[in-house]
Amino acid sequence: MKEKKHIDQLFKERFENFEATPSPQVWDNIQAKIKEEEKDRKIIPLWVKLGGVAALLALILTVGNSVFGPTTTPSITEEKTEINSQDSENNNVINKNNSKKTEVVSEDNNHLKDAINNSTNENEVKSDSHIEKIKKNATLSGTEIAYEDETKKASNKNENNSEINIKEPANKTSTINEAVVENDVQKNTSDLPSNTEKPGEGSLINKEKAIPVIDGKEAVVENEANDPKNKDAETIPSETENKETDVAITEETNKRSIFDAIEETNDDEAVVETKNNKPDNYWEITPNVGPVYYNSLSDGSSIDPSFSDNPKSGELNITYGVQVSYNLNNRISVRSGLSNVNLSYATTGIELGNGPVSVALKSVDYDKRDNVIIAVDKGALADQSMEGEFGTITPKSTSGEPSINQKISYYEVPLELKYALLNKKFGVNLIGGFSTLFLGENEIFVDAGDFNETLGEANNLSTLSFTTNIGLGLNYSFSKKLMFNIEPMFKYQLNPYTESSVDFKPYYIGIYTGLSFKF
Amino acid sequence: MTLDELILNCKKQDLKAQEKLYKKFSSTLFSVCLKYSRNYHEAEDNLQDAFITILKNIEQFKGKGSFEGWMKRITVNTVLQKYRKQRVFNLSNEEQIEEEAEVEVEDTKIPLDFLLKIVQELPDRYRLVFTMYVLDGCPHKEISEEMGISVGTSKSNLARARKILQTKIEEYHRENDSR
Repeated sequence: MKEKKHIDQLFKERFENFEATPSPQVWDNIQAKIKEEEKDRKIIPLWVKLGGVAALLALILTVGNSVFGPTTTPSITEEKTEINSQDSENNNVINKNNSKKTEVVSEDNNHLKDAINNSTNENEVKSDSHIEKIKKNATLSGTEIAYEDETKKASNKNENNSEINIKEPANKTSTINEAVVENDVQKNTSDLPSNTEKPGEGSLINKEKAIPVIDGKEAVVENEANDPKNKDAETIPSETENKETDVAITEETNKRSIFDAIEETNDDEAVVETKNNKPDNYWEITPNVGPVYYNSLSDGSSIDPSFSDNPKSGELNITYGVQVSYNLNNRISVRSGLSNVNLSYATTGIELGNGPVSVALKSVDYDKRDNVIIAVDKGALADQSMEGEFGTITPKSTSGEPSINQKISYYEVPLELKYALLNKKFGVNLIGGFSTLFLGENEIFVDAGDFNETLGEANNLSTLSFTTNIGLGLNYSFSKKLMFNIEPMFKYQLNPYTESSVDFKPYYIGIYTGLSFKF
Repeated sequence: MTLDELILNCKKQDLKAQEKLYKKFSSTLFSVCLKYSRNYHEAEDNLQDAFITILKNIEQFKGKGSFEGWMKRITVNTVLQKYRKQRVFNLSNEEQIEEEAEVEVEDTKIPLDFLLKIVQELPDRYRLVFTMYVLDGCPHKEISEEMGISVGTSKSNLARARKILQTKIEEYHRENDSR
């Protein structure tokens, strides 16, 4: 006879000692998740900080842009759209434009002279300041031309001189243009409202370009100065007839002041160069990666002063990140971004022991452990094992040469200026700036052959520090939109430690390679 | 190492201690997961989530009461939370049935695997109520609070679960007796 039982009773009894073993995979997953979450926990507050920095940067860029060049940017864009419409043709057409330009100039020569006379006359009546300006410009151009002559005489051989010649006078003429144009504008406002903007653009661009003149970089001046001229040349075909007088004035003045120079110069080259002046793309985004080498300029130790004279060796690690740059013109760009930098170095000439945390390294946060691995200068244990502060340490025998290692990772937000020395298909750039470093991971561990143990985190690292950066950028353009970069950079840390007494002056050298996408 | 030391080291997020803790209790906690989950695979997932919650919140265990009980509670809560997210508790148009006093089955050698399987195959809420009430001895009031259902629903679910299980056990007997 089969016994019947309440179903609850049955299940209760059968499951009373029920146990089952999960597959080992479960622990692996748990372990992986714990590590991942530890990382996330560190990253989240960092992202909050970075968000703030990014917002600040964006603010600086926006405000800076509107303060330093409110009309420049829109005019450039306007110009760019105009150019873009013809862009594909432009390269081929440059020479054509150029010849057109001369044509226009010669055709309108008489008109121009009249126009200039008119405008100057009218101007005389209207305002004294303008006259002064014109006079000033006139004298300036005089000196320029004189200078030009001098350089010509002094000139030895090459294109450089011819380029300089063009530039200098061109620069002047553009200032003259500015004045003349101004007058012209006053005169013509009623019938040519659209023209008012044009000369403005020219002069503004000219001003902007004038900045590099301060550096005495004539090569730059050349391009800059030519810019308004170039623009006018390019706009000629797309402009209405009304424009012609205006353009002609500019051209005419250009022609007169650089007359001699033009004769001797390869005009095409000048035009090509001026075209390059405007960046093809204003933005660049560059994911990059590279090896970084970390070391110190001084002998000190960041871990403990007793290791000051120990041999130390920097180690190769990796950095990776993304850079965003904005091209102010085709020579200068400002850039920022975010990257992760991993740094480490090893200190040797030590020995290891077990002992109480009270005699352990002060710069290490042992996380409440009482008995820890202690690293001391080699020989220290033998000397003092009888008595003294190391008396409580049990030496640890190790199979290999023990070393104490510091591993740091930073999140780096750079702010750098890049200046192009050469910006053809192959480019050479100088890079300078600074970076803000946010401390990420940080670990001190000991390593001796088969023995490896993490001591803890260093407690003397600044969570926020800075570097000054200098470097050289080499690039190769595959196309207008894609460029390969390799940039050896030297970065010197300014305040890596919270205690100023730490005599360790770390720097790192990175060779950043990346692909730039321009847009 | 005593359990207290192990817990202390786990509070310091010592990975070795965490592994020891897992090895010590994984079987117990896994059996809980198996009883509450739909199948073996989900039970493993739940064990994983529960144990991570345990490790993350181990600071909150102040040494009052049984540590094993605390871990089991977290495990059950993890599973309940998961199914709560999946909205399995919101069965609509559910007619409540009365608890029947006599749901009896023959107690011949029914393999434990089979019993576990039919529990796991129960609809989610029936399974959870049945396991909590019968296997873990929770009163209906507690179950209703944990699951956010009424005591009546809890009782009704239990009765339905019993019926389903009874039917399956009878089917099992029929099949095996006829062989």
